[in-house]
Amino acid sequence: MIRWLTGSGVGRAVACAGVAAGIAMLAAGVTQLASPADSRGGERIVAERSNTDMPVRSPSTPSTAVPAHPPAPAAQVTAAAAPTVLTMAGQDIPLEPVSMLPDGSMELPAPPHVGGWWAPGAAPGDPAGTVVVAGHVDTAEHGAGIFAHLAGLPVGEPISVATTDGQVHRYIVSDLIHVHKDDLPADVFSRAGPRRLAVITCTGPFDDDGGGYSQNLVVLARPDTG
Amino acid sequence: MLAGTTAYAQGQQELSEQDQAFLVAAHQNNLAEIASGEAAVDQASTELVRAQGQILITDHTMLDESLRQVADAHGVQLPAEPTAEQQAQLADVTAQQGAAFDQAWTQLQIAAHQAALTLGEQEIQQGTAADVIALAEEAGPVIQKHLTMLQSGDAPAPHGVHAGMGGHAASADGVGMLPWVLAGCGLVVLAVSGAALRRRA
Repeated sequence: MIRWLTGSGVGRAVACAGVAAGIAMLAAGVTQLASPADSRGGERIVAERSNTDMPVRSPSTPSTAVPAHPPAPAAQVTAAAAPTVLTMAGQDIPLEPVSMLPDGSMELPAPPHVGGWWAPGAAPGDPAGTVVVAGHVDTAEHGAGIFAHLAGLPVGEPISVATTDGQVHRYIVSDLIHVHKDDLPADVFSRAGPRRLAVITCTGPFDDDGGGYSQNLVVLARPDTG
Repeated sequence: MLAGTTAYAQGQQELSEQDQAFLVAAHQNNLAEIASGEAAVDQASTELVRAQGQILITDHTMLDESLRQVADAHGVQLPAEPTAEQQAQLADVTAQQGAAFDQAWTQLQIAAHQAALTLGEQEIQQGTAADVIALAEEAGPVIQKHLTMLQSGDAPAPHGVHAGMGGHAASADGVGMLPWVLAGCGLVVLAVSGAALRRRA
């Protein structure tokens, strides 16, 4: 074959194309190996932004997650108004108040396109504390969740949270932290301390035997005073 | 020495009065805290107090499991219920409603946790059996965490956020085979084509 490539004019053209193609393939492979953040899951995450085609659930729709305890009588959520929608990177994510499950973990709405607002903690209108919103990076049944692309959010990116009283609270991403699930800092859930927003999802190695992801990604955002 | 033999020997060793009294009292404290937690989950008027109640159930259930194993190993009988006084105190609280319930509940929990801390410290100072003292040492920081939470009125931190079960966004398994295949094929194509171009006709 090499004799044909060197011998004929067409063969030489093919060889040139081969050099170009070889360089391109080599470059593509090396680029993906060098920056795993771009390729991580990119081939396997189910259709991007598919949740924008799903009907937006009203925040008053009961969550399909069933806690072990019977539902409590209607309780005041907090003195300040509850968050209803979180907007980031052009996505509007409906929010539901959630609390603690019997195993002590934070409850999450079952549908992957709904975020959970940690109701025992701070609300956006409170004078202090961290507003916590958690959402699925993905689920076994539905594929990519609302926070599938949270890791790509740059520092400086705006996030806004609308509340039941009609206010819109604006934040700016200040930090992205990866922690082992057992090492999630307690002050992320505190009602004391500086006003801020924490958006949490899962990341890191995945245990197929039921352990799930081993890490949490926490995106911290400070109030936009501008 | 076999572990079974050790446990047998431990069990046969009679505990001191201090150790026995601690096991019984700490167990009843756990039962009282679990009952209080359940009352808060049912009756709290805010999500904050409800979550505080839930963490009491979760943590005191865990502490009591450890305690029961040690009590079993020593053949110590544990009561099935909190003390009559603890039950009466909780009944006074659950008779209230709304914000009044929240306030009374918080005050009762603060007092109960302060008493539990004192009980544990006494065991650490005056106890004899290493495994019983270890229970007090394990429980101390947990009870203190609860007390701080109740006194400051802060929310408990959950024991984790499990926000993903699909496995699609996993990162540590690397980037998969595709980039390696691309790079490998690219090298081969480049080598063959490059060699061909360099040969003189």
